[in-house]
Amino acid sequence: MKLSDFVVPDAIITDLAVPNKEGAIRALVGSLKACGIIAADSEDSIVAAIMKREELGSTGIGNGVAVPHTKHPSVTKLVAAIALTKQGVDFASLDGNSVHILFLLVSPPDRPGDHLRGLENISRHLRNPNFCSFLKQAKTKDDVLTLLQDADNNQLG
Amino acid sequence: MGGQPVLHTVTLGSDGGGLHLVPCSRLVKLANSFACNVSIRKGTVHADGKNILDLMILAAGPGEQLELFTSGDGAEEAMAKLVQLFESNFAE
Repeated sequence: MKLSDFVVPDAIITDLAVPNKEGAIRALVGSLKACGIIAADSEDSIVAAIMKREELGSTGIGNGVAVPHTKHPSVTKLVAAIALTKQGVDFASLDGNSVHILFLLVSPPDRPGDHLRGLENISRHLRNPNFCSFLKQAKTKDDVLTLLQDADNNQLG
Repeated sequence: MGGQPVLHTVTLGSDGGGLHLVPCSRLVKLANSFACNVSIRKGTVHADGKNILDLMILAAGPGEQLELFTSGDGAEEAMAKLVQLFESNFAE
């Protein structure tokens, strides 16, 4: 599985400015709705499901990264939106630091393997310091897409 | 002083969601509460039990078998707690 298999190019936000975790999740889910990946009438229920999931334990995994996610019947395949934020969002992360990179995942309830493979893929790239550093420096959607393509092709060193 | 290294095989509950983010977070939190080294192996892939990104790379699904290895100070106690966490199915 590659990042390009599930990251929706039009659901990449490079200048997220929100006051809190719910605002960030709402913006990311909204970006999936805006490009027609999820139905408008599923938006609130997906946001609620992700916020409920956060109550089990923050998906802020440290190093300025969060991976909020949920399973939801409104999607037929794993999809992801990405947001970058200069100001940072308080996500009650494992290391206590604010979050600057968000990968939001929505997967169909009947395909838990896809969810695990998506997390595995994102984690593998996040372990590469170049990937995180370049992602934080990205200014445009095209910068992010080029970076994702380079990561998929193992061209980040 | 360092204890004896301990090895234990566990099987992920077939009715859970596998080693996704919630179990990984709980595992890392527990592993980091001990001074000893904690590593987890799935097939040929090894993960540092104190590193969440490492653990997620295992992408271990329901019913899959993992090998737990602890070494150093408190290795036996850490293993007992780790096995307990797996056996509780991460309290899912």
